[in-house]
Amino acid sequence: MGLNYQLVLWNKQKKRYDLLIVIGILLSLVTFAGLTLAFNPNSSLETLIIRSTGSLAILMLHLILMIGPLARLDQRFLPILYNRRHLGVSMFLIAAIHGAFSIIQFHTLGDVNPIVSLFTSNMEYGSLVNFPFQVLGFAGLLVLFLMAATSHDFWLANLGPKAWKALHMMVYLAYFVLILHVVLGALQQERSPAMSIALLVGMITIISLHLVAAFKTAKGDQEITEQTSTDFVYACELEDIPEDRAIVVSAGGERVAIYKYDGKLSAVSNVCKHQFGPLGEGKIIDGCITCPWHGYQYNPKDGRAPAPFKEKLPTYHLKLDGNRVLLNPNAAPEGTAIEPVKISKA
Amino acid sequence: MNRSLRKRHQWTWIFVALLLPAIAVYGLMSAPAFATEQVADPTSVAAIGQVLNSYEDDVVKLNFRGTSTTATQLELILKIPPKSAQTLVYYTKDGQAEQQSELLVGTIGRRGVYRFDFPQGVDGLYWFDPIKNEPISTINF
Repeated sequence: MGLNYQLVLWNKQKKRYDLLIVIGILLSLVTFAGLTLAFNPNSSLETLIIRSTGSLAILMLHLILMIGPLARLDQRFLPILYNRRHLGVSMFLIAAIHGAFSIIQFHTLGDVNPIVSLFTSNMEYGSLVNFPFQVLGFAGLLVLFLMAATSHDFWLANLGPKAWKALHMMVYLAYFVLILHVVLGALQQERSPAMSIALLVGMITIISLHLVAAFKTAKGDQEITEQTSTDFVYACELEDIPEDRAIVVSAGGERVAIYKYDGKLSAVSNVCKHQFGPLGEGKIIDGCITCPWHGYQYNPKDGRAPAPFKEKLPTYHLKLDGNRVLLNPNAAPEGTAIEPVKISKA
Repeated sequence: MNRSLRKRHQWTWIFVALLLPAIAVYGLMSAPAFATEQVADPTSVAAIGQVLNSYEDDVVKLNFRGTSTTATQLELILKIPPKSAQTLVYYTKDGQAEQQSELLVGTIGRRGVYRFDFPQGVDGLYWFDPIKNEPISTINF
């Protein structure tokens, strides 16, 4: 969370993480080059670059796509989610090198514009197996470019979280076309089943993780229905909420995070204004609700980000009936101050 | 995430789970029966007998070599490297240019001398670019 835009937002943790990314990239490229030269010494330098960067980019894309569902299934992965942006931009740069060298090697020797050549050299668009796989790669790279170019809070603020999120969800489309790019391209020439098996295992892992996470989190969308009075519904027992943390319930069509802190209870929308992170999975730090994804903070009483930030969350009325926590599912307007419910010491 | 985003994620991945593995497996099963990149580089094959017949144009010289009166080896001297990033050479039979594995001769790339087995019954050469999936040229003997 920063007030001013910086080209790259680095802190100690991100620098350490970026160092790991650079070491990982170099190790992968050197290993791939070594193996290729050992098993296929006639490979040209251009071919070596195209293959090593292509393999690394698809591997990185798999790792990136695992982070989201893993963080939803296990909070220990949240620090990786916090640092995911730099891994994504690095992956785009590697993929761009792959794309640039491929276009140079395969499409610049003729008398047709290389980009036109890319789209017209193989016109079997009606065939599934002979579909021009390089066009699929180009489409995937274009999506990755749009994502990398807008991977900055400046764009998030100016596009708005909804449009930004919709744009970045296109990574799933990119994944789809890039898997087909590999299957209909490189793997058509690969006789060893190892690469095909590795790709299939990676694909099944990604799909399984996303489906498991989606179905698991969908369970949390079941509305609480036990009506206790005209306006309030039963949410949970007081003991269910850990100190300085929240319990998340679904009411009024959206999830609500009920926080317990300093002998008080407050409830706000579970959806962070930054990137829709799950606030109820965060904790109270320095008196503020802190989003587990990127550290955005809100005052639990009124749902407002501390000045000079301007984000505001809907807030909710709570009541205590003995140990039963009751919630009014009708959200108050964003930023409305609601006096926290005091927990009387028995 | 809010509820609508969670639903969108869920339906996206159900769609991906149903479609992507099916297309990917079909694509892998449909891979050609031979790996064009692993066709042996025929530049190191030794010459057989003497030249019985020849053909030459601006790009290539073909020597038909053998120890008797029957040619058993095709010596291809490439004068100009092809523009395509990868070039496969097939024999043609009955004037038909087809990408059949039994008619695949090998790959050519750099300028130089390439030698291939020369079977009976073939009547020409057919050059093909497997990356762009398009024919390059045909030479009739």
